[in-house]
Amino acid sequence: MAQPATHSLPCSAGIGLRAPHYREVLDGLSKIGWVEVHSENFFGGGAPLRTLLKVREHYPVSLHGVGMGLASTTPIDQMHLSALHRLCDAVQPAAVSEHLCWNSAAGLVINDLLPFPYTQEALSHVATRIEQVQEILGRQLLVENLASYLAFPHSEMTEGEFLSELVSRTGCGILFDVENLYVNVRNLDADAEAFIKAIPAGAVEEFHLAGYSERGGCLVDTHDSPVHPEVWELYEYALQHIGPRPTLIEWDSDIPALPVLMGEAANAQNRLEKYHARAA
Amino acid sequence: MDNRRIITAAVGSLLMLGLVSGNAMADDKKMDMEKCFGVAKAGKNDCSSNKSAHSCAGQATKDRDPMDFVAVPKGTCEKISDGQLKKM
Amino acid sequence: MPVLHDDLSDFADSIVLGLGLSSKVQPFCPKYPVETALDVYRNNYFGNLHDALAYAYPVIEQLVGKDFFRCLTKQYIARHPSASGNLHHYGAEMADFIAGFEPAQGVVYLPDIAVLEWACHRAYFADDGPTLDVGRLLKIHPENYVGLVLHVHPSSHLVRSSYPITAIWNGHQPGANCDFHINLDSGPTNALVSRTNNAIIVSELGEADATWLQIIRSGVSLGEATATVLECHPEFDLLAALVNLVARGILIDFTLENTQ
Repeated sequence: MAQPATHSLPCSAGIGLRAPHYREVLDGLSKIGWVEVHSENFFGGGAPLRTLLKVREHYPVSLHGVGMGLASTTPIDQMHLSALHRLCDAVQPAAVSEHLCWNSAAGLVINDLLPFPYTQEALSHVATRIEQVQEILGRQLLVENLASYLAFPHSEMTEGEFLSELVSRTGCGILFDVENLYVNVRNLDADAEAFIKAIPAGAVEEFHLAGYSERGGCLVDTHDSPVHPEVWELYEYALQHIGPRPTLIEWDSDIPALPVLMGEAANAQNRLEKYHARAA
Repeated sequence: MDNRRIITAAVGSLLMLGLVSGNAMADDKKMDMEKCFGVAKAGKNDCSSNKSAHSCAGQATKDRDPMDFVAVPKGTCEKISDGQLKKM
Repeated sequence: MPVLHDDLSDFADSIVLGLGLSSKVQPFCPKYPVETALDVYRNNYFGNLHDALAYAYPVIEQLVGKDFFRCLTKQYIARHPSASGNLHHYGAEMADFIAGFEPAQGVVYLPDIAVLEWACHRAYFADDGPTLDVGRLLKIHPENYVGLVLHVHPSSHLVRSSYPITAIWNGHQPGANCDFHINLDSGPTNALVSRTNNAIIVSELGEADATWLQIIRSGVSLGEATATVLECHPEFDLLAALVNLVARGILIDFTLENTQ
């Protein structure tokens, strides 16, 4: 490995690295702070892992999981967890994250990120599972807030309060997806200021930014467009209250040319530097 | 005729050819990149909501069977052989 | 975990089976009907699995067309729900499913193409293997060559079919000339899947070579495999087969019979 293992992400803008950009990124023409990939795409080893290891020689890598189902009430898939463990050993990522969601019920997996009621019962359940994952991986897990299309009225706390409790019970970190929060504000009348107040700023290790789309009045987390102005605004607000953190541009569908993605990353970088300067 | 002789001769010749296997040979950097990403599969897991707002949205709640409107393969298989696509 | 478990099960049924939510779960959507939200989740459920299948079976999708493929996946998904949080595991039963899928019966070679595409999919994620250690082979006394047990690369697969599946597969790869002419009656083919660096290659193997490789894959010694093949294929050229399969990185290692 050309570079020593990096233990934390640089406090700069990174991009979600997807297959169409592997070649350009590996050709080294791009000034990218760091990259994030979806863990499961590299579980099998083989050709994808070999490519990722080449990327890892040049950039810090964050592993972002979509399939652990931290809130599922079925037992944790041990094969899934050990595949993640092996991947972490091979890649030595700077961060490892999962979503605050569930994805499996009796007899089947729903390959999506599904919301659940924020109850005390769910809190102890999810906390136990995060501890299980952290123990196997031997490292801190970042947990990401979810974009939801519906909410459960019997929730006993907000998502922000739930995350905050998880941090104090498990020592996990928070991946704050600003676009997800904005989607919840619009869809479910979530209170963005309250969310940001509720989560411990010191536990926030990373921001996500992405584009959404709309379907029948519902904002959908499609990651298929530039970051919307309202999301940039909310990002700036989050920077003021939480401080600068490594920030990722996610784009998963209708993936644009790399320069477009880099332009979005530059927009995030400019804002980060503004708040760096202000803090200094 | 004599299998043992055939095998001894074949493996012996293989060794004389000094063959190195394909994986080791293809070390040329440029070719490697070409091969690497020419057919790179995209990776199916991602954390965005499925964006294709295709007809399946909401279909699950309706009774209509999709077989009602498409019953015949209509792709490149039509070019592969005559008659194969005709009604059985 | 009674309450959370019940909530999630109800929600799951609503997504997968299209059922309404039970009266116990009353989700809250202030801006649009709850059905709109449920439809987004149902769309995600079907769409993500559909896309995973399209990703694993791109040749099948081209052969039958996008609309037909969507019908096929809809039925497949209803029959075979996902069992893993990793979508790359999804779709293993496609060949058998197609074989029993009435509307596709006319495309007789389709199940074999599905077997081949799944083999390619697995090859992509297979572990890397070593390179044949010629130096080690040199140390084996020629007397013992018959007892060599040859090992194949984890990414290599052999798919034997009564139809020209290699030509069909290659004709549907990106950049292939789509003006292909394939005669379905051209006889059986043996499609050999391998991975060179990160590229999946499907090539054709002759009948004798394929029979030999199939026996070798089952762990039979070089002597026995070769003798078996020569009985029905006297024209079998062992040196040519070895050169081809070693050069392509398919034969990667060996042990000696009785010594392992």
